[in-house]
This record gives sequence, structure tokens and C-alpha cells, in this order.
Amino acid sequence: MDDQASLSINKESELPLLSTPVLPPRAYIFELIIMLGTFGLYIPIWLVLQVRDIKKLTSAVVTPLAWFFVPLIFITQLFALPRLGRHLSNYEEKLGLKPPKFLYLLWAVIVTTISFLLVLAEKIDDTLLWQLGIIQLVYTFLFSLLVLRINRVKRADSRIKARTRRNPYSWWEWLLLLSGVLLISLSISGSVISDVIAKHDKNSVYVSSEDQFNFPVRLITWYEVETNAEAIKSFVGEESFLTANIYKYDKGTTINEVATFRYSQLMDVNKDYQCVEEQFFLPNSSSVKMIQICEVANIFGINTTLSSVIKNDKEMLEMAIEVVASEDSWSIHLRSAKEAIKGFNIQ
Amino acid sequence: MKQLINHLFLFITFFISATQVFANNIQFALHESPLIKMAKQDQINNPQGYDSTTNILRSIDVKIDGDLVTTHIQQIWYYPDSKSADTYGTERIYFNEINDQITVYSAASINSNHAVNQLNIETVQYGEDNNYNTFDDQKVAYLPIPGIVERSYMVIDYRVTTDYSKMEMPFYDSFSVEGNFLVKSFKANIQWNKQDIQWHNTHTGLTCQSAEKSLKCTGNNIAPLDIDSSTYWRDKIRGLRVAAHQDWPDVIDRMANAYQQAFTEQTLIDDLYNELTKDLTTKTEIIDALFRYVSEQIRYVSLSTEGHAYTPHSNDSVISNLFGDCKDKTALLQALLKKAGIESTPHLVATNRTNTQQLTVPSAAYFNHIVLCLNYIGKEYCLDPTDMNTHWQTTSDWIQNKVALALRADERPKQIAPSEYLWQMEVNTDLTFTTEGGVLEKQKRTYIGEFASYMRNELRGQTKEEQHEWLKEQYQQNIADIETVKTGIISGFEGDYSTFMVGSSLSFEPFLSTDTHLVYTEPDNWLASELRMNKLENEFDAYTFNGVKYTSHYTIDISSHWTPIKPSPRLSLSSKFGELKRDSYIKNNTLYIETTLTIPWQRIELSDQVDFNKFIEVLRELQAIRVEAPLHT
Repeated sequence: MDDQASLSINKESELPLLSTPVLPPRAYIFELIIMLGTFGLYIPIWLVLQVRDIKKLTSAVVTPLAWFFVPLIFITQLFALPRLGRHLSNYEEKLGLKPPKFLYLLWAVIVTTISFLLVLAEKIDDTLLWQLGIIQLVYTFLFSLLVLRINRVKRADSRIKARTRRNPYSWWEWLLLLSGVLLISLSISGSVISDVIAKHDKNSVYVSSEDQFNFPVRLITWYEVETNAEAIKSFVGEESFLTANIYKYDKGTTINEVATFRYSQLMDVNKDYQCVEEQFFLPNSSSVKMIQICEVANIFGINTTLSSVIKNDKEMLEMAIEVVASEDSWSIHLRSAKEAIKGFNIQ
Repeated sequence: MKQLINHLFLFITFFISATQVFANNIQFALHESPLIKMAKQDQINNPQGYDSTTNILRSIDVKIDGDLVTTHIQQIWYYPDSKSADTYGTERIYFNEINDQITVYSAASINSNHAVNQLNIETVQYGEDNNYNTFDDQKVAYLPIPGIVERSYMVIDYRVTTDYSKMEMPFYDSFSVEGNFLVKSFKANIQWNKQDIQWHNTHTGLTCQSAEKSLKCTGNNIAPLDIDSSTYWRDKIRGLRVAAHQDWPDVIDRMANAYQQAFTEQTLIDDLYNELTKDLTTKTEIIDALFRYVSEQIRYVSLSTEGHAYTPHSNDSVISNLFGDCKDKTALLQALLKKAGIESTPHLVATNRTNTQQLTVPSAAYFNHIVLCLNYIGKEYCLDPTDMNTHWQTTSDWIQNKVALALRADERPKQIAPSEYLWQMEVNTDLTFTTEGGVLEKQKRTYIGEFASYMRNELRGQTKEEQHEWLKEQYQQNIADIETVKTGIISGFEGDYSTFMVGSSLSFEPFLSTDTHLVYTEPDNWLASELRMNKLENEFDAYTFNGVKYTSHYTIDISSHWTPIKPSPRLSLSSKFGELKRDSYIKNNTLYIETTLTIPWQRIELSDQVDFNKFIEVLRELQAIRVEAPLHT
């Protein structure tokens, strides 16, 4: 691209004088790492800073802070990205550079499309977090390509060399990067459960020959993990949005006692839990099954607790599941939990 | 249990002390019977005795000479311990006052020292067998055999002479081979000379040889009958049945002819009918009025006197006397219904039999009752005019499922259909949780069909105070033992007899914490009461379960402190035996719970007994209503 600059007419003199420093062009790899490391959260900040610089460098009539929302809100990209393209082209032309208009158009179309896909995926119930994550990474990577064009034009601008900061890498950016990486690492380590005993793929049936129960694993992968003291078996669903425990009760305990206990626990946490409960015979048997499903919406999403108790002549087992997830990913985990509760059985 | 109480009431036995009322039927010619010698010989042959009560000999010698039948019965018994001696030490001889003459030759005990103790005839007592509302007028003589202790023998030797010319049916007798105890030796010798005799042996351990005018049957070591207490022994017991030859059409003809005697004098019917049906327009009203009149205004009096064992008295005499027995009342009701253009058929009923297979030789002797059945709008109703508590469209519980014979051409014995649900009840309960933490309860109970009849039977004839006391006790036993409960009859003795309604109200003192979330459980009490049935523990026979249909509607107001957001659990407990269903919803800040238990009439086979018990156990555990709600925000 630098070679093409010589072929253009240099109108650098039309550009304003710089009164305050701007960000110098930084290594693309650094920008890419910080964008990926913060899972794309850095992009809005980066864009605000770059637009602020463009305003300083070209006297363009823009409101830098408003650009914060462009990477986040798909609809704004439809008019913001062409506008950015025009500002950059104007800037490049004044520096005698040939604006890569076609490439930019192609980039803008792809970025907008991916952004739309991301919105769509969030709305689809069955989309798992890891699937969303991949789309987000692609989106982040694509957005980072904009760094190359802005670096190119900044490098061509002699004013920047004169009014640049001594250290182009701010401490807060390093802190942001560190926090992002830490957060993602924790999140990943949380979902890749540390004390996994066994993995149970979706569309399988978990059978405990030791405790004589089984349940179907549907829609997502379940992991059997170390149990707490009270449960005889514990499980988590992938991404840890679903936790399940199996409890064994004395024969003297009644189904109603367990059901009441579960609802009482929930009332103590949140009075707004909405519950439905049913009790019925398992087909062709005198074993009774109880299913209680309670849910409540909160600022973080939806909490659903499910309890299924089966009582036969010999024993009473309970499968208790909690699904805590954002509204977007709640559905698939809830459906997986419901399938497990529905199919939970004593052998 | 309710059925048992009902039957105890209806078939109450009136014992009469030794007043010699029936002494003309029984003579004593006590002497050293050869049976005593046989018993002593058995003592010598078996010095160790027998482990359990044993019928060492059962010998029956029958001579049928036209209408005169003599039956010579000889029995030797062994009682191993004082308990069996105490239980069986009094011998009973059943007889009919009209046509039976009995001579007792020996009624004695032989103890382990071979000492003989003969009956003291001064100690003989007489009584009436249970026969309320039936035409079975059997009497019983109680012979307390003296000197019976552990390891005693008892002999009984008597002859019954029956004059069948005084009966309104030909000869029939039944000799059971098996009983509660081992029969070491059974002998039956039947001889006849004039009429044709038919016989049938239903016990495989009995070998019979017949000649032209005689029959000899013998059996050894006949095992005791395996039977459960819930089974009618007449439905199961096996043995020899002997009767004058006739087929079912002959039986029907003879009984129908006898029954028709009631209609020979009925000049008072028209006036009575007109009076009873004045201002009534629909047939339903007319049937109800006629049935209510005959069942309530014609007093039941057992009148199976000579010539009227099976033959009713004339309708005019019944109308004049304002009393009659089952056949009298049935005939009068039939005559009145006929005036209304309603055809009906009398049905002989055996109130102690449900198994038609046991009626192996045709005879009217199986039957002890008569009712009237009619078809109305496509459905058959059997009306028992001896039952003053039951609506005419409900079948009296004691004739349900019983063997009956319609007195109509080409009929055969069959069972009267049982109700699908014998015990039907609907309960409406309003619960209001007070600000102080107490509960106000208002309840309305509607008893339906046979259950209404049961309640009416229990409360009829009592003063208002007695009725309140009875209902209060019923409430205290089933719901809560609280003295302050107010209860009373809403309706039951006036108007429609198909239901009986009771109301109650009660204020429970504060017992709930009003500063915590509400977690409240209480039994659906009347449902729980229905499920408080005993575990089925039959060993030998299928159990006949009388159907139950129970519906409850709870309306619960907890708004004083709590917000109802969780309906009570939905129950859907269905099995092949029946189901318990419950739905619950919240409307206008009020919790509603609606429950239905349906367990229809059914025979529960032995193989299903365990599953049935489990089913009831589960229903018992899960029937309670639960009210759980958070405190107001």
C-alpha cells in the first residue's frame, strides 16, 4: 500500500496542525492480541480512540464517543462503517495515498454480515456458548483488520511523528489485556471442570449400576463430577450453566416432604419463584414420580430449579437440577435438564 | 366396615330365651346312642387325640316319602383344647317352625377319662336366625353340651322330619361335605320312593353311587374349606345337593303363582293410588312417591307364617294393616306401579349368595328375599321396598351383586348389577387463613346414592340434638377432635333421597407463624377417611371391592399474610384399579384445589392384592393438600 502513495497527489498541506498528541501506529499483532484477549471488548474503546485521532488529524465532523456502539450494535454499522470509510479515504487522499475502497467495501460487508450473524446466533435457542464464541472471535479478527488501514495512513502522516506520545502502549491497556485474559482463562477453566470423573455425550443415557438409576443426556454434554457430601452423584452441563445432584432418602421420607423442602429453600432465596408440580405413577408400576419445576427471572437471566423424586418399595431418589444462565443460552440447558428430569428413573 | 354395620343393623338377631315357644318342634329322647360307643372306640384307637378340632364322623341318612322327609344326622367331634371347646361346645340345630319336627337322641360329651355327660334339656335355648327384611323364617335351638374340656369328644344325634306339604315349594336340601375342620369320615345315604329326585355332588373327594331310588356317598379325610372372611361361604362350599326334580321354569312358575295370590284382593289399590299421586305429573315423581309410601308407610313385619312362606298376603290386607314383609311390600308396590302404567318384575334374591354357579339343582330354596325390578328410560332399577332410606334409582347395597331370579318366563339365576361406586361423596371446603394465624373452615358434604342411604339410616329417628351429636362425633373422628365444631343436616329427609347433605363450620385457633413463608399441609380428610380401609389380606379368594367416588373442592384464601403463587401439586395417579386426580389453580388471589378419587366396583384377584394394597398406600401418602406461599412483600 505504501508504494501506491507515491502515485497519488499529496495534499498534506490541507490538513490541520496538530495541537494535541495522537496515538502512533502500533504493532498490528499487539492490537490483535488485545482485541482477542478481551474477547472483543477492547474494540469499541480502540475505535473511539482512532475516531478521536481522525478528528484531530482531519478536522472531520465526528463524535468519537458515539462510535463506541458501532462494533456492538449491528444496525449502526450499516451507516457508520461507510462513513468511516469516507473519512479514511479523504485522509488518505490528502496524504497522497490511494484509498483501498474496494477492499474496505468488502471488509465492511463481511464485518456487518458477521455482526448480523452474531445477533442471529444469540437469538437462536440452541446456540451454545462455544459456538457464539467462535463467531465472536471471527468477528474480532475481522474488525482488527481495520488496524492495518489506520496504521498505514498514520505512518504516512509526518505530523504524527512530531506529535506522538513517548510510550504508545498505555498501562491501562496492559491492565485491560491482563484482566481480559484472566477473565477468559477463569471462564474456560470453569467450564472445563477440574474434577471431572466422566464425560457423557449428548444423546446418551447415564446409567448408575451402583445406585440403580438412569437418565437421558440430551442436547448438551454432561460431566459427572466429584459430589458434595449430601449427594450420591453430581453432574454439570457443559459451560457449567447446569448443575445436577442425585440424593438418596430414607424410606420414611415422603415425596411431599422433599417437594416442600425444595420450594421452601427457593422461597428463602427469592419469593418470586413460580413453580409447578405434578405427581404420577411411572407406567405399569406402583412407583411414584414427582416433578417440580420452579423458575425466576433476575438481572442476570433466568434461574430454573428442577426436582424429580421417584419412590418405589425399596428406596427414594431425587434428581435436583439448577439451571442458571443468561436468557440467550438458558433454553438449551433447560431443555436438557427437562429431558433428564423427565427420563430420570430407578432401575 | 360401613356395609358390615348396615348388615348388622338390618339382619340383627333377636335372641329369645328358653321360653319354650319353639319347644313343640323339638323333642328329646336322650339315650346312650351307638355314637357314644363309636367315640369311645376312637379314643382307644387314637390315645394321642388329634392336633386340631376334627369332625370324626358326619353321617346323614335321608328318607324321602312323598312330602315327608326325615333326615337323621349323626356327628362325632373332637376338641383338642379348651379354646375349641369354648368356641364350639354349643351345638346348633336350625329348623323351620312351620314344618320341621326334631327328635334329639343324643347330645353328649366324652372326656379323656371316658366319662359321658348328656345334655340337660333345661339348658336348651331358642332363637330366631337373622331374617330382617327376608322371608326366611328360620329358628335355631342352642344345645350347650356339658362337660366339654380339652381333648373331649362330642356326639350329636338327631332326626328332623320335614313336612313339605306345609311348604310352598318341593323338597330341597344341601349337605356340605367340607367345613372349617377336617372331616375324617362323611357318609350320606338318601332313599326315596315316590317322586323323581335330582342330585348333584360338587366335591371331588366324595364318591357317590346311585341306584333307582337311592344314593350313597362317602368321603374320607375331607380337608377343611379354604375360605376368606370376606367370602360368602355359600358361594364356595362344596357338597351334595338333593332336590325334588324340577327345572328353572318350574321354579319360576311355582313362585310366580304363589306371588300372584297378593293380587286376588286389591279393591283398595285405586283409592290409595289416587291419593298418593294427586298433583304429581311426571313418572319419576310418581315412582318416587309410590316407592316412598310402601317403603316408609308400610311397616316391615316378618310374616312368613304357615301358607305364607313364599306366598304374600293380599294387597288389601297389607293396605289395611299398614304392615307386611318383603313379598307383601313388593306385591303392593307392583300393583301401585301397574296403576301408573309401569310394568315391573319381581325378583327372588339370595342375599347371602353372589355365585350363580353354586345353584346346581334348580330350587327356590336358595332365595330368602324378593324385590321389584323395572325398566325406566332404558335402564333397569331394582327397588327394595323394605329399604326406607334408599332412593328408588339406587340399588340397596345388600342386594347388589347378589344372585337373583326374575319371576318371568325363560329366566335363569343371575346377579343384580352392583353400583359402579357404592360410596359416593362430594365435599366443598372453604378455608380462610386469618390475620392471627388461625383457620376458618366451612364445609358442605353431599353424600350420594347408597352413601346417602347409609347416612339417612344412621340418623333417621334421632332427635335434632342426637343428630348433631352423631355428626359432631363423625367429624371429630374423621377431621379434627375439636369440641367447638358446629355441624348439622342441610337436607336429607325431605325431598330428593338421592343425596344427603351435611354442613359444618369450625374456627381453628391461631397455630401458624404469620411472619414466615406459609408451608401448610392437611389431609384431604374425607378422602383420607375413605382410604383408611384395611389392607387386603385374603389368602384364598378374590376380594370384591365396592366402588368409591370422592370429589373435593377446596377454596383457600391465604391473602391475610401470604401471596398464592404456587398451585398445589397436580396429581395424576392412575392405575388399573382406579385413579386419584387433582388439579389446582390460582384465581383472584385465591387458591383452588379440586380432587377426584375413583375406584370402581371390582373383583380383586389374589394375584393383584399386593399391587392394590400398594396403590392404596400411595394414595394415602399423597392425598394431603399442600399450601405453600411466600409472605407478602
